[in-house]
Amino acid sequence: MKSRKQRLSLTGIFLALIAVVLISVNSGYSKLPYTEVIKSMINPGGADASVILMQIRLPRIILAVLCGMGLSLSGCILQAVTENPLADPGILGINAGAGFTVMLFLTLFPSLHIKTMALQPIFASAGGFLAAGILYGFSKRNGKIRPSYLLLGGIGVSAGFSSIMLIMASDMENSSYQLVARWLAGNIWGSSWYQVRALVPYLLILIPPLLFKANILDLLLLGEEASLALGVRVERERRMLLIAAVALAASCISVSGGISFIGLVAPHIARKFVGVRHRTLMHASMLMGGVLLLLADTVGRSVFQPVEIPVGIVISVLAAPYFLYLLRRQL
Amino acid sequence: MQSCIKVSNLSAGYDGVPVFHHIDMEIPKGKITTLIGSNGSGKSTILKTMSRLIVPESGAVYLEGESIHSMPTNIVAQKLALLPQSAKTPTGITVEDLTEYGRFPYRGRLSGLTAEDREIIRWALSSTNMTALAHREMDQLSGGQRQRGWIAMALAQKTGILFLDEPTTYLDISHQLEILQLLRKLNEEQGVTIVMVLHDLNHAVMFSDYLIAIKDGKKYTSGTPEEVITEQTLSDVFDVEAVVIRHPVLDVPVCLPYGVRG
Repeated sequence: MKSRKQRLSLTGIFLALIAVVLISVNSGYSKLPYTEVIKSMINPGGADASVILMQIRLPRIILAVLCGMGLSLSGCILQAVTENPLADPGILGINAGAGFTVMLFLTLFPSLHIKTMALQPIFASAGGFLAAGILYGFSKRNGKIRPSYLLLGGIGVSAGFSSIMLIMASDMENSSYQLVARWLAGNIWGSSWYQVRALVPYLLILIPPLLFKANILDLLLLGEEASLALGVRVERERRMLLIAAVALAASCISVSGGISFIGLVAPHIARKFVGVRHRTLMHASMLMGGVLLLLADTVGRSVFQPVEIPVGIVISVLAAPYFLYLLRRQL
Repeated sequence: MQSCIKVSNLSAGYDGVPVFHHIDMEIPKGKITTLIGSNGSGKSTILKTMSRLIVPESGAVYLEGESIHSMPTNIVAQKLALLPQSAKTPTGITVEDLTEYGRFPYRGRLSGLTAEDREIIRWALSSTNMTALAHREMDQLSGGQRQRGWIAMALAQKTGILFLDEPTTYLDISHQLEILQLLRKLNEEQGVTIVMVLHDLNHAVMFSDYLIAIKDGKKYTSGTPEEVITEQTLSDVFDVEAVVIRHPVLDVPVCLPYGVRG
């Protein structure tokens, strides 16, 4: 009975995702008749295929959905590993770490703008791991990760990297600064198939093994001693999950920029539909993340035309009050 | 007396600070054994070390003749269940979910529940009288019901040995007795060996076959409640002056403390 309800919810969220994709395809500066959309889809290589659809909108839509999925799954896992329902890659400082290294890269090699896009994911991931490494060292006490320190440490790491970035920005060339600022705000504007191709391998490597961890994620929420007693190798599992979640978040933000809160909000909404067991929650979180990020991007690029609001800002504006609400309910 | 766990020369602590030293003891099979001692005496730490949660500094714990700290952890979880005091109830899980977690040591990574798993979950729920509450969320239950839910989880592990760290803390007196009677019933009907830490000495006497008194990280004495509960033990282990009388109904020793020693 219960699993029937869960299946229905998953199907519902999936249908919502398709609906948002259809809306998004036709939102923006130039309207596309759906007949043209269908024609382009059937024959993407054809002469009358829409360039706007195939080269601009579709990669952007796919990227939004993929990043939403990756960031939400990362948040879902971080919430279990830190035993804290308010965890999110942005709050834990992974975004700031990635931003820092991207900025460092742009400061050191200002002439490499054209090649920047190719190297940016690597630098962002390195920064994400740097932040996670500092966090790991900070929250390790006597050889064990203390989950309660992870969130506090993350806030500290995030603040630290942000202030270094401010100092660096004061000394930066204007065009580089704009590039960094746009990236930091979380932006999938100007994305192309290139970014999609760069991201997909990471997702294919990272997501499937994580889906095998559903039972362990469930147990980790019982606390360290209860999971140990049930035969979970807690320390090892926590470390692996943390690494995978950081890699997942870093690879997403390397192409999307610093999008916060989606990893917090999507799993929370998903829980309301499918409950707390990770076997279904992970799938539901990913779908919900795809829906939310694409919706936010669509709103950002169509509501205030011709101005585009970066998707990271839209998400923050919508999700920050929700975060405060969750925080208030927790306390 | 047949023993199922043998502790030999065991010492352990936290972060290099030793908590207990050179403890030798045996846990009798099919009996209820209770560790008693004052706060900070090390009894919870002993319980955790005996159930492989803490790695000892010296000595070993033998479960059926094999050192527990060198056995694969999921194999230990098939032989020994532990309810730690620190266990947290995650928001939103039902009693049935929690009971299902007890099957973890037997499950493959992604495989669903087998018919046998489901049968055992049903059995664990009915043994703890939780069948009617199976679909309720844990955090909506009373303290006593929740504790029965945790015991159902431990039972679903299908172990011959059950460790409990202060299972009656935070419960009112009727729920305390309810939990202890449930443990007694499981011990008598299913032959489960029970090892627990209790604070209430009179409960320890009423529900245990065997007591081990711990003082300052050392074993002070052990034996049947009749042997252990004396005015001398109470004075030495708990620093209280007390009289020991007979329980008018159960005819077991009852201690009535009346002052702090000194």
